[in-house]
Order: sequence, then C-alpha cells, then structure tokens
Amino acid sequence: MMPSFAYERPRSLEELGKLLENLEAGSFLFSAGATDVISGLKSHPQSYPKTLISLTALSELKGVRLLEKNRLSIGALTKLSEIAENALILKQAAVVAQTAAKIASPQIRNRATIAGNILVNNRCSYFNQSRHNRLVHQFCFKAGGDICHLIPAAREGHSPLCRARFVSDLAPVLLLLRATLQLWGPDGYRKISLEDFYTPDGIRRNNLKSGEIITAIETDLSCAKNVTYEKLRIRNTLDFPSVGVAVMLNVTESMELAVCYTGVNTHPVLIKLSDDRKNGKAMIQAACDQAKKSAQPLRQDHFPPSYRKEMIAVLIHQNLQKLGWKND
Amino acid sequence: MSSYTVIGKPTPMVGSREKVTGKAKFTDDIRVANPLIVGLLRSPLASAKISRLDLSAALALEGVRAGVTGKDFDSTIGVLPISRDEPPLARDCVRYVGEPVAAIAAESSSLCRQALELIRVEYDPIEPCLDSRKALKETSHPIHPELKKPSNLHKSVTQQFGNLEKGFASAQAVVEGSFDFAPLTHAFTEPFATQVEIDTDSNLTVYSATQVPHYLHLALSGALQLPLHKIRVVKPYLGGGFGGKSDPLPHEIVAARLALISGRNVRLLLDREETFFTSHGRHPTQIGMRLGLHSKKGITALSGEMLIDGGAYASYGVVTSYYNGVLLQGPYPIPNLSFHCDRVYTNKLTCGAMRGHGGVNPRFASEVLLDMACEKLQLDPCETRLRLIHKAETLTVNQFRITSCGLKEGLATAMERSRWKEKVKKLPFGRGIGVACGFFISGSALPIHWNKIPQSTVRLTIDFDGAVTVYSGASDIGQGSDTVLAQMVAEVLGISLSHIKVISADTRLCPVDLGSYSSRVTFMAGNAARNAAIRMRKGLVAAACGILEIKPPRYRNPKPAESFFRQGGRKPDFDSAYLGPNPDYSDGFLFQDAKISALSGKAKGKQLDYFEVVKTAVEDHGTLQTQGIYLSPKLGGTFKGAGAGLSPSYSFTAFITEVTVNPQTGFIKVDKVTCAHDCGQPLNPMAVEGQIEGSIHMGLGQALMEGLDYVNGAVQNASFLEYKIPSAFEQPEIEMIYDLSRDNEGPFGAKEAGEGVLAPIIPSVANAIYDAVGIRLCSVPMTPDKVLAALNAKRGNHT
Repeated sequence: MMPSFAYERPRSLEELGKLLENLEAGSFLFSAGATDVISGLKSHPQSYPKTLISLTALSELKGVRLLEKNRLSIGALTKLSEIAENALILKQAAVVAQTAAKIASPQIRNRATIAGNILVNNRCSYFNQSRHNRLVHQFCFKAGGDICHLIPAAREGHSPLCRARFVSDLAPVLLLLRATLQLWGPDGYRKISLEDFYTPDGIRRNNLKSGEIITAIETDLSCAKNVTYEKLRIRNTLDFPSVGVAVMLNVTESMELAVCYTGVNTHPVLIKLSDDRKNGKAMIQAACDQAKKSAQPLRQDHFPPSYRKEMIAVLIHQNLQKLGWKND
Repeated sequence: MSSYTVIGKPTPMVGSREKVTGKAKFTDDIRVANPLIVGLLRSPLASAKISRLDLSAALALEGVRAGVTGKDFDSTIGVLPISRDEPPLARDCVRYVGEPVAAIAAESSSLCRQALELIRVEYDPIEPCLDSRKALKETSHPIHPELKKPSNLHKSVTQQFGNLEKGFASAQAVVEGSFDFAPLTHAFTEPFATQVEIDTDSNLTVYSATQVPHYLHLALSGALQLPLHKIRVVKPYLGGGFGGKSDPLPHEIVAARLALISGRNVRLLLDREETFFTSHGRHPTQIGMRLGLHSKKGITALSGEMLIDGGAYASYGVVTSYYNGVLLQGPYPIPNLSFHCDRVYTNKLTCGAMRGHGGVNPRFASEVLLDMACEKLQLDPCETRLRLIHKAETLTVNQFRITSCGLKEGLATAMERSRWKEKVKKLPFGRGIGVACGFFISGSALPIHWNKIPQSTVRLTIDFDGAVTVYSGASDIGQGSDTVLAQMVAEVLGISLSHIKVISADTRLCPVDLGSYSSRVTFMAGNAARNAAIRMRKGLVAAACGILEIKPPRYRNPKPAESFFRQGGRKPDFDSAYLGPNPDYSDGFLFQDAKISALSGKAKGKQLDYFEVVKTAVEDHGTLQTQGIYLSPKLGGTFKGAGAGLSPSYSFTAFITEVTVNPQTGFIKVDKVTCAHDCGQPLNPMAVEGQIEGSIHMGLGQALMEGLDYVNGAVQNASFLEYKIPSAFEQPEIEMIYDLSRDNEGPFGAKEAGEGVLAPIIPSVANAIYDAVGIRLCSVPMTPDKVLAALNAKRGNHT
C-alpha cells in the first residue's frame, strides 16, 4: 500500500531552488525514474519523507551532447533505455550504452535514469527487507537500528558501520572514463570527479549534499574504446550484479591498466596501474591480487562471498580478452 | 489418424482473452459490497510461547470492527484428515517466523495496519529446531507436544519389495550417493486472496484463490462449526497454483470467521512475502540411495533413505513421505526395492505439495545413479533406458497398474532428434548431453477423505437456445481444465466451443470435484464430462429420430474397454464402455458443425440442424440435463501404504538435455532440451506444449538457482527479485514429442500432461554436466559456485 505524500514537480532549477528554501533537510526526497523510490515507499511508508520532488520536468537535466576536448555530456535524466540506443553514445562510448542495455529489465530501463543508477542505493539482505523481516532480525544501522548483522563486531552502541554493497553497473565504467559529475544545489553549481564522489559507508554512500542533485555526467572519450564491462548474475536480466568488473587497457609507449569492480564492497573499487616496461602479465596479476585483497564480500547476495571474490579475477580476464589482450 | 474435430486441435484457452486484456476477475478483483479489510499479525520468532496477547488497544481504535486470535478457533485444520495439526491462528505458541498470531478487520487498510501495530504480544522464546537431522533426536520441547512424541519426527514410512540382498548381489554394478535439495516455493503469480460475503442469515460466500474449493468447503464447515449448506466456495480466475493453493489455509478460515463475527463482508489480500510464508513448498530433502544394475537384467535393486523437512505443520506431508519412495516404481521395473522416509517437523515454513509432489527429488537421485551405473558398465545411458522402460499393461512390484506406456518410442525419437549418438561423450570439454526419464500419476485413485462420492461429477444442461452449460467442480488454475472439459463436450456434441460455457469451481452451482491436484482433472473430470456429453447425445439422438420419424438406435452396449487388471471390478461409470479412447458412439449419427446427420438406415444422408433438434428435445422434456461421474477402479495391493501413488493411469517423460558449462565461472547454460512426454492423446496440443514449457522452466529453476534462504528460521529472499525464478533468457530451445500413446481408460485416450514432466529435467541437466566436464553434482540447485568447487576438487585430485 502506498502512503500519502506531497508531490512537487518543479519546471526549472530556479523553481526547485525556491521550493527547497521552504523545506528542511530530510523532509523531502528527490525522484527521477522512481524505480528505487516507489518500492521503498511501498515497503517502508513510515520511514519515508513527507514530500516527494520529481525532477522529471527539469529540462536542464536532459540531453546528450559532445563537448570540447573530446568529452561527452549525458543529462542526468537520460533514461537507461535511451542511453542504450543513443547514436552518439553508441559511437563515442559504446561501452556505456552496452552496460546500460544490461541493467535490470526493459521495464525498469524505460524509467530508470543514468543519475539514478549512479546514486542507486546500496543493498543488503538485511536492509532490503519488509518491516516484518527487519523486526525479526532487529533493525540494522542502515534501517535506523543499532546493529549490523553482517559484522558482529559492530554491535550495539558502536558507530554505525554499514556494509551494504554497491550495485551500480554504470559507475565502474564511468569511473574508468574519468567521469565528472555536474552538481546543482541551493548554493549553485559545482563539479566533482566520480572518483571523489563515493564514500566507503553503506549509509552515506556519497558526497552529495542535502538538496543537491546531479544535472549531468561528463565523460572523457579518449580511452572509451579501451574500456569493457563484464558482470555476473544468476539470471541474464533483472538482477543486480553479483560482481561487475570494468577494465581499461591502454597500450602505447607505456601500458596503462585500470580495473574497477562493483557489487562487492560498499563502493566501487578502482585499481590503477601503469608500467613503462609493458610487463602485461605481471600487471594483470597485480591487478587481480589487489582486487582480491581489497574485496570484502559478505553474505548479502545469491552467491557465496568466496565465490564472488574469486570471480573478480575471472571477469578481469574476460574483459581483457574482449579488449584483445592475448595471454602469452 | 483420429477423426476428431475438436480433440487434438491446438485450442486457445477458454478465458485467455479475458486474461491478456485484463478483464478477467481474479479473487482480489471481485468487488464485494463495502468490505472490512482484514490483516494478519505475524510472528517474528520461529519458536516461542505466547505469554500475552492483548488486542484491546487495537479493538479500541475507531473503525476497527473485529479481531480474532487462536482462542477464537476450537479446531485445527489440515488437508489430510489424519494430520490436522494447524491452528488457523497460533494458539499458545508460534512455530515458524511469519505464522499468523492475530487478525483484525477494519474499515480501511491503513486503519487495519495501525490496529495491527497496536496489538500487544509477548513471547517466551523457545530454542527453535531448524535442522532436520536434529529434529530426529529426542527433545524436551517438541514442536508438537500434543502428539506426545519424544522427537520432532512427524511420519516414518517404510516399504520393501523383493529381496534387496539378492538384488544387489546379482548386479554387475552397484552405485550409491548422497543427495540434498533446497527448500522451494511455487512462486505462482497471483498472491493469496480471500473475500467473504455474508448475508443476513449468516450464509457465507467465500471467494478464494484455491485449487481445492471442495476441501476448503469442508474445512470451513469444520473449523467454523457451520453446516456445509451455509457455505458456498467460489474460485474466480486463478493466477497459478502448482500445488501451493491445494490446502485449505489459515487465512481463508480467519477471513470467514471475521465475516461471521462482524456480520460484514471482508476482504483479505496477502502480500508477496506473506504468500511465501503461506505456500507449502517443496520439502528440503536429504537422500541416500543405492542402485544395482545388470546389463541384461536391468535394475536389480534400489534402496533409498529419505529425510524430508516438513516445517511447522503436516499439510500433505504423509503423502509426500510415501511419494518419495513409491514414485520410484517407474518408468523402469525394479524387482527389489526398499525405501524409508522420515518426515520431521522443524520451525520453518510448512512444506507440502508442489508440482511433481514428492517424486522430484528421489527421481534426481535415481536417474543420476542410473547414469553412474551405466558409466561403470560402459553402457549407453539412453540405450540402457530404452531396454528398461516398462511395457504397457504391466504391474509393478508394488502393484501399480501401468496401462499405456509410449515412452520407449518417445525416447527413441528423442535420441534421433537430438542426435544423441553423435554427441554423447563426443562433445568438446565444456559441452555435454544427458538423459533422464520419469513418470507420474494421472490423479490419485484414492480420495483424501474416505467416502464413496464420485471423485468427479460433471453436469450438462442445454436450454432452448442451444447453449451448453458445463458444470464442474474442477478448478481451472491456468492449466486449462475449463478448456479441456469444453473441448470434450464440443467433440461429442459436434458443436463449436463458442456454444459452450463452463461454470466451474463453485460449490453451490457445481457438483463435487475433489480439486486440481495430483494431475487428476483431465483424467477424472474429463471422463465425467465426456460421459455426461455422451448421455446428452443420446437424448439428442432420440429427438432427432423423432423428427426423422425413425426408430431410435439400439445401442450395442459396447464391450468394456479391453480391461486389463480392473482389480476389484468396480465400474468407473454406469457403463464402462464410456471410458477410453473409442470415439464410436454406436448411434448411427454424425454430430459435426452443429449438424446432426443420419449415417445409416432409412434416414441415411438426412441432416438436421443441431438447434432444431435441441428445440424439439426441450419441447418434449424441458431443459435437457445429464451428468457423468468418475470413480477410480479399485486398484492396488493390501500391504501398508499400498494406496499411495495408485492411479488409474500414468504419464511418462524422457529428457535429452544439452548444456554448456563455463569452467571459469561455473555457469551452466542449458542449450537445448528434447522432451518426449507420453500424455496419451494430447487433447489440446497448445496446452500440452504450454505445460511442457512451463515444467521445463520450473524444473530448471530448481536445477540451477531456486531455493529459500533461511537465516535463523526467517526467509531472507521472500520476493521475486531475490527468489531466483529463471527468466526468459534462461529458457532453452525446446523440441517436443508428445503424441505417444492412447490410454484405454483415459478420456479420448488422454492421461496426465505437465506435472510428470518436471522431475526428469533436473537429473538430465546433472547428467549432461557430467558429460560436459566430468563432475557429479549431488546438491540441488546446481549453482555456479558448486560447479566450480567440484571442478576444483577434480583438478586437485588429478594433480
């Protein structure tokens, strides 16, 4: 059952600014595609703010265009299905389109936006539950309680340590495309690199301030052809990634390898390596080792943690194969 | 070739347009006048004593009209009269997470939700029993103390036939294995819903999403102490059951009680999580099995030890316990066979009947073992099975009567179509092909409630307008039972489906039918419908003869169908000739395209209009009305448990399945399945194909990914996002072979279609995985992590 709430749909950022002047932090919630918001509203009406602000009428947040210096700007409201089919994106950064095409299901892609995917809430088998289930196990930190069921050490009275996992498919790809987020807030515009955007806290998740929204995502196209993404999920649709790995391989006078994985830790984990001597094999091994060392999978997915950890290296290799790397 | 005009023709389901356009009214779409909304408070604990339960604050809330607890019910419910152990609401103690403890009826759903929050419950936790092995041990606090048993053992069944020792001694290869299977839910689309209308004389009309209106009718009467005639149960359109709606369930009883207390209509809709709690899914199972094979003598012996985890209550558990053993009696003879099955209670969701009931998990074990034995003896697994399959008209050692069996031809065809010989053991590493077979009952020959009322009765009426109304208690749960009954009547009367309206699953309007479970409807209600139509045809022939001024035909009382082993000799209907595939009605008329033509005698060649004949008949007799019944022939032996698995006929299935295994990720892709399903005469090929596709989909779910995830007794994946039902992407290419036999007792030669298909797909995948990468998986679902672990273990062994 849906609770009742106030619904606002500002027509411009200016209108949004005025609206926010009269709202206290925490009393409102932004929504765009609303695929996360509506299900949350239905399952936990008590914990949702009183006002829902739809961003869907903000034309400032729309459109895909090429910028100077080989950069591409994608409006925050661009739907995943639009990204998957956008000619410009397909030509300039096909990996973004291909990744978007495999998120969730067609119905969800028709509503969900790129910014929504970047901001998708972290997931945990104790958080993404009904009120009944939360009562069974006690409410966890992320659900407003005082316990983490996955990290027994973080029990009662400790500072909230939330290990809900990060599940965006697009974030690792955009990170390897050195994406920058264009943000708008009551204090005006600011830019932040995606690399600086996420925080390793399953509750706070990112550095977005109250009242701030993403207006556009800018990516660097110079290495776009050198990036691929592979993910594992038990079904070939619908499911969030159990593990997803993006790889960038750039071999010029030196060799540059970057790996970013999702679905495992509380944030996307980026590993960057470069080597003048082009010892590819050793670099790949180092990337796999670093990935394995940094991965902290917990029992919050269909697949067991050890399996997900092991699969990161497998997906790194699958990506490298796609990128034409030949293991000698 | 058959000369049928409706039977055997692909026919879209009756009501399918309503469903796809959204017009169909499912239970929650019914609009009873001004209903109270019912909600249930559920236990957060797996096991506890209820020390305090206080509804006063909830009842004091403005707009709350009634509330009930376990104390408002005197009796317990359960589908089997021998094990009615479930209170409609928990009484004194709770036995699983999610068990309903109290219920509220209020003027709106938000009020109802508020009121539920105001209920005060205090629990004294009891250490829950969550492990089926531990459940076998003595305990000071059994889950069902009223049974006065020292442990949580619910039912123990044993059967033994032949001489096991000799059987194993005569085998050339003896193989054994331990197998385990995850708990499953049916995952039907439509959640549980019940609405109750009450009139001023306290007569109840209960609309409910149920497969078993008749059993619900009986359960309501018993639990509410209300005479049967004051209760009418109606099943509206239903969005899937798969066995999950085949018990009378607590929420149905509670809704009716609240209607009686408040004197108001009530409406109850369970959400998806509650639907998971309420469904009695497939038992988590552990099996130890041993099989002996001889290249010439076949399977010389088989023994099995099963432990099935029943959860909190009994449900169909006693039947499930037997089915774990008795459904090993086909499709191959096993002269020396023994099994022992223990069903235990645990503080988890109740388990019961789910598509392939009780036969699915042991089928996996036996088919994998048969594959292993073939490997040991270097026999081709398909060729071996071809030699083993039951002949038609045989009796198994436990006295199952195998009437028709077209599996041999089916498997042979599947081998050709799949190019088995070119592929088996010849595909590159990572790709494999495997085979498995199975069989299933076409309805249980014994009713659950021991009585002599026919298992199915179908009534037909035709009024002056020529429209035929079929009244049947059978529940169309999406499987197409309304369609198949209409088809049979249309076939006999030579009219189109548009002339026929089926009114079904309404206990006031329709004669008793035991319900849609155990794959009984096509066979049993089908025979009843066919016989009712044949009687109707006799009346029309008489009227036609009047118009043509000829003598009515003298019916050659046709010979009883070649009755093989009609043990006990009970006649299934007044005239056994009306059973079986023979389309000869012995009346000298052709009924086709709404025309009735004389084929012989003085009037030969004369043609009458069906409507004209109907009009004449109605003028003579008033509304035309006939009925047909079905009662199973008396079957089976006299030993303990001999009744389990008895059926008037059995379906058979073989799968040849091709897979690709990714040795890096352990992912299994099922590329292609070739399915041979002997369902007798396929009455509606479109429905048969749908059933086969659905069984493959559901079976692959169990094989590859499905399972309830319990943490401390709570299900953590009670949603359609986290409970992994395969998507369309996982559905393989399917080739089907399904016109393989005619059953002498089935209506138009038909048998069960679509339930028996499920079981063998699972071991066929396992056997294909072995062919692909050389590992034997014994834990279901066969998830990528298990594949990888087995591959690593194998690599380890080799280095």
